Amino acid sequence: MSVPSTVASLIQANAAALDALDFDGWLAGFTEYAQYHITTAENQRQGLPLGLLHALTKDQLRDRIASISTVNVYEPHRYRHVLSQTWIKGQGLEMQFITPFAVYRITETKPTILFATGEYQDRVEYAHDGVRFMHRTVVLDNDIIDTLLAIPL
Amino acid sequence: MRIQSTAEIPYEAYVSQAIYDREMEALFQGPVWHFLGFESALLGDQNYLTTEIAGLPIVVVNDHGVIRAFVNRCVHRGSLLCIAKTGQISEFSCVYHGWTYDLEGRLTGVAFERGIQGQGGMPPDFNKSDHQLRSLKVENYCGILFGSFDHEISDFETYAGPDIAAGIRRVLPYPPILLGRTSQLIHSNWKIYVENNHDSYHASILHSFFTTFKLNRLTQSGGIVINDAGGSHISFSKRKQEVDDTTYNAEQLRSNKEDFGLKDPRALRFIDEFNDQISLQILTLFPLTVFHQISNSLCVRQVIPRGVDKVEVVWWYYGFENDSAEIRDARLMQINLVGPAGYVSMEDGAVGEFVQRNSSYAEGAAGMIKMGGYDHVSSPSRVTEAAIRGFWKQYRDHLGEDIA
Repeated sequence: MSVPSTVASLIQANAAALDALDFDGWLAGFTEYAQYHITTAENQRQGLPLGLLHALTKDQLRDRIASISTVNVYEPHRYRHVLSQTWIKGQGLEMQFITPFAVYRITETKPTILFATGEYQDRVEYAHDGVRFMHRTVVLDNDIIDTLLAIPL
Repeated sequence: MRIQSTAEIPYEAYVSQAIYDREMEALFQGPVWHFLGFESALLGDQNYLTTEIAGLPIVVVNDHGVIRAFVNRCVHRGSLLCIAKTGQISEFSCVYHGWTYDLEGRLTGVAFERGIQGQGGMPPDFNKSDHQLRSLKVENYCGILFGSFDHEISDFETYAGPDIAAGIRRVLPYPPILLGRTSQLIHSNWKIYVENNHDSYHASILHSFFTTFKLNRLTQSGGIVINDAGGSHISFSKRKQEVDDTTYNAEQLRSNKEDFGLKDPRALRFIDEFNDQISLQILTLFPLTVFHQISNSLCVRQVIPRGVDKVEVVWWYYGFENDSAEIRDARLMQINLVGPAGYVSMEDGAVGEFVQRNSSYAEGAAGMIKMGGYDHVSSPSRVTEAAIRGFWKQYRDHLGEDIA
């Protein structure tokens, strides 16, 4: 099976929304009971459950956006996602859409850095009004986060 | 450079390569205990792990039930001996020239020691028994492995002092198991990050999330405990609100956002697993180890200096084998509060850099730490910088009054 164009578009649009700091647009890509995790390849390889971010509902994603928009203190920055082609891993209930990525971080005071590489591991839900993430795991290749991770990846 | 009073810190201390070099020699390789890893990672015979102390590569190995630690460096030309994070070995073997060591660190083999057909080889005065890996003293305290370069150092509990040791035992009632690990690179001198952990004054001001959700307010009952040496401390608070809110409201803190609430507050849930209502305990062990309990998030933060202007913080999140599902879920959910992406701790990654950027051009200036007076003793108030002063007291005790 090839990757449906609706899924490829969802993955592209979701990254583009983050890059544009359009958090409502980012949230729109998730179902109400979506799970969203950020972890590292090493934690995933060892089967360790704790990573960097762990949301079990879309409300928790809304809370993160509200917190980083109004409460948390950090130097303003944005991301630039560069996505590779999505491919399909597994079958049936185990099927995931895998999208390798590189994320650069742009700040006002320092040169742009390569902030993270890794892959999205996605499961999606098809509804009458479109396709959304029901389960997204962001797996970072490297353990090290430069400075902090406020905006989701 | 010399500090004028115990309440001043010259910014030069954060940028001087000469000071950093002295710290590497006299402090980190001196009579202090360092975090090495979890006992649970070395349960199997001949299992090893590699780690670092202030950038010095270290290998820790289970040698038939005895935990040993060595500088991970061949005596011949200095290559790393073990390269993987973890593994199993029956002897150390250098990839570069094949020199081997037993797990007690004794040099056992030198490739072509006698040369080939009488040619080459080591000179007659070379004796393998003269050489061994540089070893560390090791102690297992509550399932955490600590190491020291100083074999004459006092035992761990004496070094920490009774109160700090009790604070460690409190959050380690059983041997810990690793639940996950992340790492954070902060663009500041290591001392700025460590001081930040000693700074009970900043926590509820910088970390707005804490205060917004009443997780840790300076008006909550709690206190700080500083050991006799000065450099290790505990800051703690109890979840139960015992002082009224008027002091806070009068200060009009940025973090008082009454209109801000969480739609899904499950990350804020606190289970009183140690039965003492203490929902926050930040514990520093001089100089490079921090233990945190933030609600049910339990973590050892390993501080790794990386030059004068960088420090890596490795977050070792742990739980216990017998965690209930409820407790385990709380630990998972509270990852949203802590670490490089945590609501209540992400700012620490940024604020150190804000200080560092000013330190290079401070031209003899010094920061001040006068909040709460000039002493470095325990107090029921967390509106104090006493624990930072304690850090600097022990720092100067190790490095000499003239250091900073």
